[in-house]
Amino acid sequence: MPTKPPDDLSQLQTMRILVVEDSKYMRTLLRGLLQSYGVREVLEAGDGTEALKIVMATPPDAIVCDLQMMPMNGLEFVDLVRKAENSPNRFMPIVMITANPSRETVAAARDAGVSEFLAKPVTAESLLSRLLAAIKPRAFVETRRFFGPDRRRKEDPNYPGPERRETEPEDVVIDPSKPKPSKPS
Amino acid sequence: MAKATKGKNYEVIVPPSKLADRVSKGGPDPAEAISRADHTVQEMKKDYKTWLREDIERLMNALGALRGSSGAEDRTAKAESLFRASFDIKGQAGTFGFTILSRVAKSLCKLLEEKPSIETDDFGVIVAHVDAMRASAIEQTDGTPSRISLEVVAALEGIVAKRLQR
Repeated sequence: MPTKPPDDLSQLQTMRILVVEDSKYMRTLLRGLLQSYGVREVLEAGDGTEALKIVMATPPDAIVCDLQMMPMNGLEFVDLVRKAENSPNRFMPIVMITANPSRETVAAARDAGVSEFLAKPVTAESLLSRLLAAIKPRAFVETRRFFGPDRRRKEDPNYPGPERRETEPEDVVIDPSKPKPSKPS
Repeated sequence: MAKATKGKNYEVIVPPSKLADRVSKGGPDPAEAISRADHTVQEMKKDYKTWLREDIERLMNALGALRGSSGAEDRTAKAESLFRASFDIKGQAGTFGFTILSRVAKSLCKLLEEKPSIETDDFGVIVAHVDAMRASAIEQTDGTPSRISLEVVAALEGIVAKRLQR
């Protein structure tokens, strides 16, 4: 369903965005879309390992990343950007793209600390709206096992219940007999 | 400088807003940017038809390897390559508006991913999917799907559903 176009694209004109996608066709498409939005510079990597080298050498302002890649998939890559001690920017806005938007995949992406999630097929409007949502200033939460954007979009000072951040986040339970290791879970 | 609020087992951190600090309001018109980006997708659609030939070739090679596999372990590895080829087509074809092709690829992915093991008696239905994808790519229908295409894809999805119920 079409959404209201975003108001302000000025930030994009100052940004360097890294596209991490193993398909050269999708990389070309994503580059084309980002350039059409006015993004200043687009970098490309074919997998998580290559992307990590780029992140260390030329830190981007945001990342658009596919989930299913080899040898290092999107979730492992995001985990390193968020948690590695030598990460140049643990608060990096990250949009995760996948052709397999199952509940388990979305939960795994959220737990890895992605900022926004986008299901293929990618459209001009959907990518732009996720990208702008990802770069919006947002608090981050750190627990013993999680580091990523605050999942709460609103704070309710009158919320009467317990502070759930005090407890450990639930593990994503993946049935090992179902998704094979290199496939998106 | 980041600001932090601490709880017993958590910390809420407000990171410094580097991006917001270096721009003022304004920039390109959003509607124009989206229209420009849509045009980019349309232009790339032409290239995709060429790319698709390579993807179908990769799919055919993966199918050939699967059919020539020996033993369960080898079959699982070859099915994985076929899954990846089909998975890529699923996402890309959908993005470029090849909805039937994307649906057939999705159906094949579902079979390969959800069936606990791929057996030689699955080859028939796998070949049917690959043939349908090849036909769809040759036809290169990126417009309204024909009735026959819709019937074929629905039939393939039905067969996969039945196989997964076994």
